[in-house]
Amino acid sequence: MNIVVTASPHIRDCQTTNKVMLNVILALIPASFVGVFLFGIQALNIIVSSMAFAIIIEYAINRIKKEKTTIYDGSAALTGLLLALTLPPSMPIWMVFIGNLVAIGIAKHTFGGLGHNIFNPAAVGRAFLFVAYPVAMTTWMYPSSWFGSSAITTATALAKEAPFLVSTSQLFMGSIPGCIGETSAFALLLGAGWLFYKKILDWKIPVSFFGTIFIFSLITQTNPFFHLFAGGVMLGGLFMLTDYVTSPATKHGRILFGIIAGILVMSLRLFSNLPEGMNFSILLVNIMVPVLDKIGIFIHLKLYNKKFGIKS
Amino acid sequence: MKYNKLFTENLKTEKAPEADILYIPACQHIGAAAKIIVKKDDEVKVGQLLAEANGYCSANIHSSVSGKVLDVKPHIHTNGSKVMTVVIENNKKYQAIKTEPIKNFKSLTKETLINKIKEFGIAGLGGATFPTHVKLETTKPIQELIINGAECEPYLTADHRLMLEDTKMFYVGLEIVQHILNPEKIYIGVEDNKLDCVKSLKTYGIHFNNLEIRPLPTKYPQGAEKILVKNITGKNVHKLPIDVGSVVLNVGTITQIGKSFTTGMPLIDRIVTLSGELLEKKHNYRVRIGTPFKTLLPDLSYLGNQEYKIIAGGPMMGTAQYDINVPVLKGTSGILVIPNNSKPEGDCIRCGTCIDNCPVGLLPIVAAKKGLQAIDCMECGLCSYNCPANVNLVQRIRLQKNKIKKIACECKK
Repeated sequence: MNIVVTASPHIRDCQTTNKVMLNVILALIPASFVGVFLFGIQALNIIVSSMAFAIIIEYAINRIKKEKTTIYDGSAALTGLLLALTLPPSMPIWMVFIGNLVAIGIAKHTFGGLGHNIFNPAAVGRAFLFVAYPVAMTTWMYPSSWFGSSAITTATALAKEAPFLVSTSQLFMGSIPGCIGETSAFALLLGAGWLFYKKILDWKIPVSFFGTIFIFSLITQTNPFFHLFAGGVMLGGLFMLTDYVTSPATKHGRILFGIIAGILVMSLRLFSNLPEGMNFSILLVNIMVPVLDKIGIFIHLKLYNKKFGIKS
Repeated sequence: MKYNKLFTENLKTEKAPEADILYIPACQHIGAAAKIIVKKDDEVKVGQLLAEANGYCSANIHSSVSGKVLDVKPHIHTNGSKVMTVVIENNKKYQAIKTEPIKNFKSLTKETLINKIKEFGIAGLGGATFPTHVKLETTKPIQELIINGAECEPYLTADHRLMLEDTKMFYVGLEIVQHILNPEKIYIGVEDNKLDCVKSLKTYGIHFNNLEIRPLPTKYPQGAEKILVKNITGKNVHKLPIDVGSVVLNVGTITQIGKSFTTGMPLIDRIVTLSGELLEKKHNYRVRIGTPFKTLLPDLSYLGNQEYKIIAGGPMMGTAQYDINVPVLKGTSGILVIPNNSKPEGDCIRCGTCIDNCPVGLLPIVAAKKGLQAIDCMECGLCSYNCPANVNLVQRIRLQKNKIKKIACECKK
């Protein structure tokens, strides 16, 4: 007899953490493809090696910590991919390795691994690279044909002294200098559409985030579409802010989270020396998650009590 | 969610195999255990009172067979614990007590009718087994009587068969309950995967002028009291439906009332669905209460080394059994044999799926960790079902509930 006794429910949905992670990776394929198409084989090199580094580092840390191997849950590969997509295409491979070391080793595993990290690992990795190797991180390439682009130091569309003008449609499709995965808003939205269809992506964070940026730029009389499609806003808003672990779990917390992130991005972009504020605003808003969840629970209780007429 | 009702929904209700020894526990309902009034070596008949209701929220227990009382001892219950049980040796003669059908119920007072229902030992047959007379004994004006024919649990088809086969008896019972409660409106909620039931109910129910049969979307937990009241009337129920002027009764309960009144025989049997991927032959059985699972299930040795679960009730809220000597109780709507697919618990990734799926709008992960609003959880299991990290949220919430109840008890002292 092999009777097993467990607590109910005795059937489970087929959704698992691996499947969630794999679907997010799948959703990033259009953006990666556009990156490789625009910036050539170097971009592919960075993407593949970054994912490989992330998995190797995760495995090594599993061994050091003498815990169960967690590379199969897909979260390490996803971190590697996200980090690669936020790097310029001319990035040396050894810097990609350092970035992954910081992302997986420091941002993820010092806190206890998947589900326990406070900061988005990819964002931490990128922030480290940005501070440690500012030159490499701001060397951009003009997108050119397959396998043929050369590194030219140029400014992003966001820099105040940008030497060229870009149209909104160029920004939308992605034929501009920039990081591997963040130039094409179209490809990113395509992937996000897939996640939304699979019910993995929740609308609350992207909508409140993009909405805030839109309203903020209307108030400050800048082009809202420029701010939405330029730089890392699309990639960050759709794939990095929405990272489950580092965003609030409560509904109202998520809306507040998006709004605060939007305000931070626009403030950094318009009123600070940084041309691009996405990376740091992700990290800043990540710190606020516990507080935002507390506020979310507070609002939830108020609404719940009102719905059922409970006096508290 | 896979509902897997096709296994049994077209199988007619059959007579269940006879058991040689029956185990009838004194506690088969929510509330106080009944007081056992028979002793070892007594001869009992079908329908004879074995244990009488002990207090207000309790229910009578009757013998379902005739024979000798072998013992009165603690025996395994479907909830996993051991409770005082009357063990009866079935002489297979089924000699019944003298029963008197109740005619002309309209001439009787409300109190007499409720008393009769109490005597018949009727408790909610949907699974929660709340003593029915307690539900009916209300002084509040009833706006709507809601009959629960949703049967939202996967696999189970007991109520489905009952609505098809016993429609006439159901309406006899409904008339009695209508007479007692005098509701403004009667609704029957049926999930839309049972449209044949809707048709059958409509054909026989034309003489009710305030009756509405409401097909509902097939979506677990449609048959939970709070959800049913919300979806039919739009009212938000916090604790009990009676707070908003509704009474919810299961179709099985109503049919049993009709049956008991026409025959005078108390609640001694019920329909049980035998299903699950691992059962070769599936059935809808009419089972005498107290029949051990062993009698109903085939020899499971053909499963070899495969791990499996035997579940009393549905797969979402039922309890896994470790002993096949456990008897069928008033609330046992199904016996399932399904493969074990439980996975080790992973780390919460804070995805919020549990929050999005909670039918009563709680924050399951917060309830599981800190006990926030845990008391309001009805343990439907949707949070655990949907959790991608396999966190056993419901079980954690149950533990939190126990903690809260313990603290409350200590405060009272």
